[in-house]
Order: sequence, then structure tokens, then C-alpha cells
Amino acid sequence: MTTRSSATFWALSDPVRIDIVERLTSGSSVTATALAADLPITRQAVARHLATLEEAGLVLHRKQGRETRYQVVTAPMMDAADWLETRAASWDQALTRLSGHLDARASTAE
Amino acid sequence: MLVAHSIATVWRAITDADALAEWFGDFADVEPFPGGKANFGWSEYGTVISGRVEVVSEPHTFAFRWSAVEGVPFDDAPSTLVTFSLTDEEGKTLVKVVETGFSELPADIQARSLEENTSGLQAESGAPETFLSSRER
Repeated sequence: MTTRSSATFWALSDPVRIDIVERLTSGSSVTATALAADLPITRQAVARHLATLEEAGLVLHRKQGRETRYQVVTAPMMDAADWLETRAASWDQALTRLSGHLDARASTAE
Repeated sequence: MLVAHSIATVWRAITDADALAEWFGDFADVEPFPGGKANFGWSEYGTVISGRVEVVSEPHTFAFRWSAVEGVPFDDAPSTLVTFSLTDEEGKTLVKVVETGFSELPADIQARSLEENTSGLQAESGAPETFLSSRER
């Protein structure tokens, strides 16, 4: 697994952080204050989660006047999705080989 | 995946080291009891993944943890859990594989020390797992 994907999975292992990413993606709340108003947690807790997400490369912040606005960076999540897809495909291939192995054994036994 | 063989036949194929070496890896060193070895190798990639058997509940559930970092001894590496589930379907067998624990891996699996890894796992316990399943056919 790439380091970046493991950082993505770890950052998304918290339901609040998933909620924050979804809200940022939909564009409904883009400041820590607005997110805190939408969520049952304090602004400080939101700020900590945003820092964790930013450390993992999943969000970016920019200053706009007196506000700090957050936006989602999609590339690491796309990479993680690709990684999971590849891993799932390798399990599918393994099960196909299992089936073929059992068929071959059965025909040899006949 | 539904395979056209009895649950006893499939059970043997997923728990017996010689059988596993024929379809899963090029090399398999598996001791089918909890705590036993679950080591696999692929000569094409030159990799060995070491693991430990977790659940042996014949003929329905076989699970092992394996290292998330190739070539690192199991005891020293973060790991994911692989669970094979077998269900009898009128003489055929439904085989499912689910691999869990990706979100519990430390954020940087290469650089973090085991100590940090352990505390990270404790801090995140209760968090939902990222899971991976063979797709329904």
C-alpha cells in the first residue's frame, strides 16, 4: 500500500471527518465556524479534525479576508479508491483460481 | 463466488498449505489453528507476506491476519484481517472473502515505529473500518 493511501484511510476512519469531507464537497459549509454550526461538536473540535484532514492531504485552506475557508482535495481519495479497486480485483482473481483449482482436481479424480 | 464443490472440499482448499500453494500463492506455510503461521510467497513478484491464523471454525470460517508491509516479519508490522466465509448452497459452496483493517493502519506505515502504531490503534478503536470484500457474483 502506498503511504498516501494509508494516510487517506486513516484520516477517513472517523465518522465526523467523513461528515466534514462530505459537507466541504457539497459546498454547504466552508469555514470552521460554519461547519461547527452544522455539526454537534465545538469549533475547536472541528479545527482539530480539519488539521488532521489537511495533514493527510485531503483538504486545503486559504485565507480570504478575515475568514479561513477550506476545500477538499480529491486526488488522494481517488488514489485510495483505485487502490481498493485493485485489491478487490486481486481477491476476485484469487477466487477464480480457487474455483479452477477445484474443478481441475475433480476432473483428475474422475 | 459460488463454486461447484462441497463445503468440505472448499474448506480443505483454503486451509491446507499444499492446496493453498496450488491456487493462492506459489508458496504457502499455513498451520490451520489459531496462532499458527500463515505465510505466503509469490515468486513472480519475489515477495513473502507473513501472517498469523486467527479463526478456524470448520467448515464455515477461516481467518488470518497478514502483514500490510511486504517482507516485514508479522510481529513487527501493522496488519489487515482476511476472513474466508463458506456457506453451503445445496451442495455447492458460496465463498466470500472480506479483508478489513485498512483504516486502522498507521498513517505512515513505513516510518512510524511500532510503539506509535500501537497507540494509534488504541486511539482509533471503535472507529469504523474500511473493508474490502470480494464482489457478489
